[in-house]
Amino acid sequence: MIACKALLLAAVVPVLAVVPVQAQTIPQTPGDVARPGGKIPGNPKLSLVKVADGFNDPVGVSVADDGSGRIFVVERVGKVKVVMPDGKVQAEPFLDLTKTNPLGSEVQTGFVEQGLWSIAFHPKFKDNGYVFVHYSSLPFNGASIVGRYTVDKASPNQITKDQANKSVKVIMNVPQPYYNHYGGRIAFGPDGMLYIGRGDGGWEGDPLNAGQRLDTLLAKILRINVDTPDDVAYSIPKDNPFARADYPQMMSLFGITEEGFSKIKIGARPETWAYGLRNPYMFHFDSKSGDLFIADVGQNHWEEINYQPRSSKGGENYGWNLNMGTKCHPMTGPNDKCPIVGVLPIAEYPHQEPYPGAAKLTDGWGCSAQGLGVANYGGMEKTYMVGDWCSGRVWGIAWDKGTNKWQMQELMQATLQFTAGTTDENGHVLATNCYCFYLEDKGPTANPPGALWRLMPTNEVKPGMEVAKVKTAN
Amino acid sequence: MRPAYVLAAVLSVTTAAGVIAQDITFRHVFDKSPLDVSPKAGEVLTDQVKEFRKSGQNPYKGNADAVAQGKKLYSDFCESCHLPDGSGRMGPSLIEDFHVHDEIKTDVGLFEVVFGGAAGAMQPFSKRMTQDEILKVMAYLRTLMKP
Repeated sequence: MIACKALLLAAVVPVLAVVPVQAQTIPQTPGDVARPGGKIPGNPKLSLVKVADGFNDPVGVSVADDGSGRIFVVERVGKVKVVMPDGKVQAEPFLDLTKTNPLGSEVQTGFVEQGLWSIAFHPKFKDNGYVFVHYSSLPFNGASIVGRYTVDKASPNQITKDQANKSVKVIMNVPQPYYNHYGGRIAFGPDGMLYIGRGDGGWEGDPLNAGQRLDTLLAKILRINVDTPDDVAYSIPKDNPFARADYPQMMSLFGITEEGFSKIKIGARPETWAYGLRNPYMFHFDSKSGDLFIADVGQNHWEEINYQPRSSKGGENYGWNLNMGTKCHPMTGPNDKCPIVGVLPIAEYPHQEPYPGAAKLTDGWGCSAQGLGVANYGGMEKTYMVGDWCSGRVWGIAWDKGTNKWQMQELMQATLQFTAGTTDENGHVLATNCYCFYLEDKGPTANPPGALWRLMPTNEVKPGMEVAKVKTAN
Repeated sequence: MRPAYVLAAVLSVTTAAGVIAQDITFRHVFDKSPLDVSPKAGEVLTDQVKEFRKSGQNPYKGNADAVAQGKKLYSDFCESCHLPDGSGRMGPSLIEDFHVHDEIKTDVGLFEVVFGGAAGAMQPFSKRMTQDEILKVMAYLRTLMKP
């Protein structure tokens, strides 16, 4: 595999967080990082209201932002379902990747982290009908595929099998070493580029050192330009942080500064926007500011949430597999010492056992951070909502001008196993839950069905709306 | 504002013999709403389930055969999150002196959490097991948990 040739490249220089002075917003020390127990501004009182249900392992959700009010729920098996503005789910899928190939499904679903994860609509979707999907491929032995399909204007709610096969364009095919940690979400940024959350390729502990290597597409947020001719899969935005790091050039030894030399990264993949991520399954742009939040799923002990202001030039190293959150990796006890590598998260939360051998927590813990979306309503401003897969907790993370710090507050604990989220055309955060399962897995259509929820201010909940069972944190 | 937790709120049921039997009302651990314990399609309520509904005590406790069957069910449904020894990883530890939901110290509370689910990945296992199977897995769980 490509693993060996670039271990040299992986020579990692632990560097204390060197970040542009982004005013007050990026933590410079572990003490600045928010943890459960804080209080976010706005004192939001929220409820989860059911929008629709009956989905098989829903693991992604998006909107087209075309004014149609439709919501697109991604089923792991390889289907995208349309929820119409009246809440009714169209019987025929919007897209069905289980039926496009006469020899079998396009989608590998053997492990619970495999499947179709995400659909993204081109910023000019209304004109060009382009939709992009990200999934693990059965024909390509589990490789992750980013593909584009074109909606026929005569059939706006269904890409038929014929239309799918006629219009498909493969954008990216990334081989996958193990069956877990794919990442998943793809989304267009405010700059019109396609961002791809790509996990470290799996097993545990990042055995390929993908996090700190620049010569692999694994363990990254990728950023590509998909507005290319049909015979060009994608192009590299010129302002990507490593766009020219491995550019063919004459070797010059003189007249170049040390900083100039440091920008030469042989083998670096120019698609890289940010690295040092373990499994960025969900990430979201704030529709108001264009800022980016990344929920990076952690390993045994801590989950982390990262943040980039819109002004970021990219190239952030979020530390995996040398750190998880503000902690050392591997974690061996409560007092591990190690350098902080790269950029600190804005928030982190523990698992029930915050370090090996720790007393088990009774409260405030989780196991897998699923970002849901950025809320600017109900008293909240630029508040990143994160749902936990294991504990059903929903946290809000926001900057607090009063304390001049990021704050993290548990807003509720739901019975739900959160998988994904987005914001709808009105800016409300949507969330999906599944009853996915590891053992005794009989496939992505055999589990009890999951649902789509909207996070609403409690005082806007109307009689007759179905509200999720929650415990509201004090 | 939550309704008070009433462990043994009772529901009156008239048996064929006309005797008033008292069945326990099982409640969801979050909001104490009653759980629907009517059998799934094709599920037959065993004598042990019927007995449990009245006594609140798991008749399979200490029954070697039931514990063995419960161990297999635990392996199928529980250990991916709680680990084979119950010490927990994605799901909480089940073998500490304290519990995320202290209700599980009683058989009624343990049944309520397994049957009705709690939070997040702790799904309602009523969707995957019969009530008789839940009693068997509970019998095995008691062998892992501290008394």
